[in-house]
Amino acid sequence: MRPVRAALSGVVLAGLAYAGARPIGPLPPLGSLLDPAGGLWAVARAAELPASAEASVPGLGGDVRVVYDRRGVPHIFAASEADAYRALGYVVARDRLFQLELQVRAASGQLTELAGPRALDMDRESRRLGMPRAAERKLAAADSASPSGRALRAYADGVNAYIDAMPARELPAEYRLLGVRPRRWAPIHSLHLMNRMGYTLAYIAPELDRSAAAGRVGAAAAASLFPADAPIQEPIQPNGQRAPRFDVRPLAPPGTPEAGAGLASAAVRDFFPTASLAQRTAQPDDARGWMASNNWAVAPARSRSGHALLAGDPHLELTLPSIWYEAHLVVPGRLDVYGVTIPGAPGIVIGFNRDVSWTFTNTGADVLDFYRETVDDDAHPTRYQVDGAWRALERRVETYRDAAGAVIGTDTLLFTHRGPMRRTGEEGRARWVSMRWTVLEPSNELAAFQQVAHATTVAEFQATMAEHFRSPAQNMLAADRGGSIAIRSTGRFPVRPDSLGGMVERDGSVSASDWRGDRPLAEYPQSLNPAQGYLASANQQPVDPQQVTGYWGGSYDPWRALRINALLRADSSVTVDAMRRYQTDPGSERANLFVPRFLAAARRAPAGMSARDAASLAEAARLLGEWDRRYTRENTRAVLFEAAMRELVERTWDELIEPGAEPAVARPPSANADRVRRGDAAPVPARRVATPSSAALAQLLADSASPWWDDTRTAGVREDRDAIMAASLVAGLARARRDAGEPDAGGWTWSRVRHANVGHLLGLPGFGRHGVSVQGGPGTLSPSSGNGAHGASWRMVVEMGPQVAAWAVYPGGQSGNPASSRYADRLRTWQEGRLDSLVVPRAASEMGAGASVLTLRPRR
Amino acid sequence: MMILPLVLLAVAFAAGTWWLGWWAVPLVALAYGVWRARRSPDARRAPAALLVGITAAATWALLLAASAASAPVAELARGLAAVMGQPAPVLYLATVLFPMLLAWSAAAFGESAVTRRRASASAEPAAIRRSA
Repeated sequence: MRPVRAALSGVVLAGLAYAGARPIGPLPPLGSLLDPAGGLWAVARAAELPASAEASVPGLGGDVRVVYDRRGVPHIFAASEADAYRALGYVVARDRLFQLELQVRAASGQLTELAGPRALDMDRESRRLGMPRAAERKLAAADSASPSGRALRAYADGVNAYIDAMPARELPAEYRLLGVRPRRWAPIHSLHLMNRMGYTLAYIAPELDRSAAAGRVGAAAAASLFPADAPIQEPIQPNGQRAPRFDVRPLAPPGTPEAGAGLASAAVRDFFPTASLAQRTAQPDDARGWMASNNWAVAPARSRSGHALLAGDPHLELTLPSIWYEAHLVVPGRLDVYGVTIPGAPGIVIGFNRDVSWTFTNTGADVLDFYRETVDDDAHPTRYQVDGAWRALERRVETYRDAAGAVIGTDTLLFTHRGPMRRTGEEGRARWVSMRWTVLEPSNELAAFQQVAHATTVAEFQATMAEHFRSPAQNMLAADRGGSIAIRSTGRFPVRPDSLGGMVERDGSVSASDWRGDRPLAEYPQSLNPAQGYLASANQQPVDPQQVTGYWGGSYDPWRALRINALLRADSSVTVDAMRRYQTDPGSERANLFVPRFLAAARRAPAGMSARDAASLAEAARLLGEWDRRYTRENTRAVLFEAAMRELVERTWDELIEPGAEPAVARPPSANADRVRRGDAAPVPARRVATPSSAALAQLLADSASPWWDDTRTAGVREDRDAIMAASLVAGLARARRDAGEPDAGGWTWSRVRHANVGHLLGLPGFGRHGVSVQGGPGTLSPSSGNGAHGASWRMVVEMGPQVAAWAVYPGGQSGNPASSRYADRLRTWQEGRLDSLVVPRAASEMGAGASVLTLRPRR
Repeated sequence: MMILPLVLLAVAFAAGTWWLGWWAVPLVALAYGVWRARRSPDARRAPAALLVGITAAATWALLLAASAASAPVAELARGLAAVMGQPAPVLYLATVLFPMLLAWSAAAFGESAVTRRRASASAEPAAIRRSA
C-alpha cells in the first residue's frame, strides 16, 4: 500500500501546487484566490478606511492632511497646489486603483496587456484612430514648467507613491482575478484619459445615419429624415420666444437609392467599428437617449432665496465604480474647490468653489470629417498628394502584447497632416480615406480644469474655458455668488471650406478642402443673464437656425429641453428642492405630443378594420387614455405607450429596413397583430439601416397622407397616418400583453419594466447592481435608456449664496472595493431622486475627527 | 497528548500563511511528514496525515472567521460567488478543502518518501547477506 499512497499523495500534491500557483482556464491561481491572509479574501480587510493612517509621499513640500467625511469624500488640506494634486493622486489610487489603469488602457489601446487577445479589436480601434499618438503629441507640446505641467507630474507622483507602498491586502480584487499587478502611473496617462472623454463625447458622425439612409431612400429623403437643423426648436441660447417652435416641413418622400451613398458610412464604420456597431444595434430611443445630460441655472430674480441656483445632471454610462470621484481640495488663500474628478484627471471637472459653480452637457457638434486621399501606390502607399505635390505619409508601427508581454499583433498605421489614413470600403470600391477630428489635435483641457478652480465670476470661468478647452465641446453652464448665470457652448468648432457642412467626404488632394480655422468666440452659442431669468441645456440644438446660420452638426433630442424649459417657465420662485425634483421629473413632452395623436387616430378607426381589431383598438385607447403621461415608478400605462411607439417606428420607417431583413411574406399589420396576440408569432424584427428620431416622427404627424406612412410590406394597401397609428396601438397592446401580461395584473407597473443597470467596469456580474427601478422614461429629464446602462452619472444642485451650499449624489460610492460599504452606498439615494447635503469646510479644524484621517508626509 | 502537536501545527500553518503565503501550508505539512516518518514506529503517536489536513483546513477557517469578525467577508463572498457563477458556500468550502488536501498530500508524501527510503536502506543489508 505504501507505494500507492506515496504515488497518490504525490500526484495530488503536484496537482494542487500547480493549481495553487498557475491559472487554469478562466480561474486565477487557487492559492492567491483562497488564501485567507493574502489572497482574494484579504480584499475584505481593506474594504473600510482605517480611523487614521500615515504615508510618506516623495516630492511633498509639507504635510498634507486628508480628512474623509462620512460619505467617504476626501477633503485635502495642503500648503501648495502641487501638494494638493499629489494628494489627490494618492487618494484616488487608494480608492480606485484598478479603474485608473483600466480606463487608461482602454484609451491608449493597451487592454490586451490586461485581458489578452479578446480585447484586441478594441485596442486596434483606439490605436488606428491615432489616440496614443495624439496623447504623445499633446504631452510633447505641453509646457512641463507650467502650473498644469507641474500638477500633471505631482498627480503621477501621488498615484505612484500609493502603488509603491501599497500593502498586499489592498491589491484590488480585479488585479487578483486577472492575475496581474498594477502598472505605475505616468503623466501621459492623464492625457490618454482626456482623449477617451473625447472618444465618448465627440464621436458624432451624422453622416453615418444620413448616408446609410441615402443608400435606401435617396439623398433628398435622407437629408429630410436626418436634418442638420432640428425640427423642434427651443435652443440653448435663448431665442426670445416663450414657447418651443415647430419648424414643420413636409418630409421629402422616399426616393431611389443613391449609388455610392454608403461610402461615408463605410468610412465611419471602419474608423469606429466598436462605436458604430453600438449605434447600429441600439434601440430606436437609445441612440440619442443615452446622451441625455441636462443643466440649468436660475437667476436670483426667479429663485425663492434670491440667490443664483445651478443644477448639473450629466448622463453617461453607469458603472461601478462610478466614472466620478468626489473630492475637495483646499490650499488656504489659493484654492478651495469641491466637485467630481474623473480618476486619472488632476483636477475637478464639475463642481464649485466659494464664488462660482459650473457643470456641462455635451454640445454634440460634428467635429469630425473625412477626406478621400490620392496616394502614390494603392497597395503600399508612402506619399499622398496635396495641390499637385507629394507629401510623405507618417508611418507608425503599433505592437499589441498580452499580459505576459508576448506580441499578439502589429499594425502599421499611416497619417496625413489631417490625421489617420486607412483603406476603407468594399473591394472594388475601396479607397484611402483620412480623418480629421478635433479630439486628436493639440489642446490642454487639464489646464482648463485646474485654472477654472480659481474663477471668482462667471466671466472669469468663461475666459479660462475659452482659452484652454477645445474638445469635446461642452455646453458650459456657470453661476456665481454675484448672481450672474451664463452658458456657452465651448470647444473647437471648425470652419469648413464650403456650405456642405460635415456630412460629405471631401477631396483630400487639394488643400482647399481643409478646415479654415475655427469659429470665433463671438459666434459660440452663449448667453449671459438672459431676460427670461434662467438658462437650460439638454443636448438640444444650441442656437436657433433662424437667428444664427452655419453648420453645427450633431443630432439633437428636443424633448428634455422642452420639458425643463416648461418647468422653469412655470416657476418664478424656484427652490433648491424644486431643482432637485426637476432632475427626476417624470413628465414627458414626447408623451404629451404623441398620446393625443394616438387617441385621435383611434377615434377615427380606419374603415375595413375587423371587429376583433376594432375592439382591441377601443380597449387600447381606453387604457392609454387613463395614463397621466408621467413615467412614475408606479404608473401602469407607460408600458402600452412605449409598445405602441415601438410599433409606430417599425411601421413608419419600413422603407429603411436593411435589404434582406424584410419578412419573407408580407402581412397586413392587423393580421400580424392577430398572430402575435395568439402567441404564434413574435413581432417582425425590423433592422433598419438608420432610425430617424422621434422628432422626425413628430414632424411627420402634420402630413397625414405622406408616403412615409404607407407600410410597403402590405401589398395592395396604402395606409395613411391614422391607419398606421391605429394599427400601432393595436399591435402595441398585443406586444404589451405578451411582454408584461394583462394590464392590471401588476406586470405593467413601470418599476417592473424600466431599470437602471449599473454594471461593473469589467462586466463582472457579482460586482454590479442590476435591475434598479427608476423613475423616468424616454423623453423625460432622466430618460434611463432601454438597456438601463446609461443615466444620470452625477446630480448636483448648488446655491450661490453668501455661503455656498450644495447637494449631490452619484449612482455608486467612493470606493472601488466591491466589499466596501462605500462601494454602492449612494445608489439608494440616487434611485429615489434624493441628494446628499455636501460638507464644505474651509479648514481641517472645521471637520472634527471625520470618518477617517490620512496624513501624508514628505519622504525624507 | 495529540493536542499539542496539532496546536503547534496550527500555529505553524497560520504563521506561515500570514507571513509567507499559501505555499507555507504544503511546506509545513511536508516537513511534518518527514519529521514523523523519522521517528521510530513506537513513538509515532503524533497525528497522521489526514489529521494534518484537517488542522490546515481548521486553521484557514479560523483565519477567515477572524477576518469576518472585522471585515465584510460575507459581502465579498456574495460578489465573488456571482462572478464565478457558484453559490457562496462553494467558495467557503473551497477555502477549507484546498489547504486540507494540500496539507494531507504533502504530509503523506513526505512521510511515505522517508519511510520508503528507510525501508529500502534497512532491507539492503539483508539482501546482501542473502547473496553472500
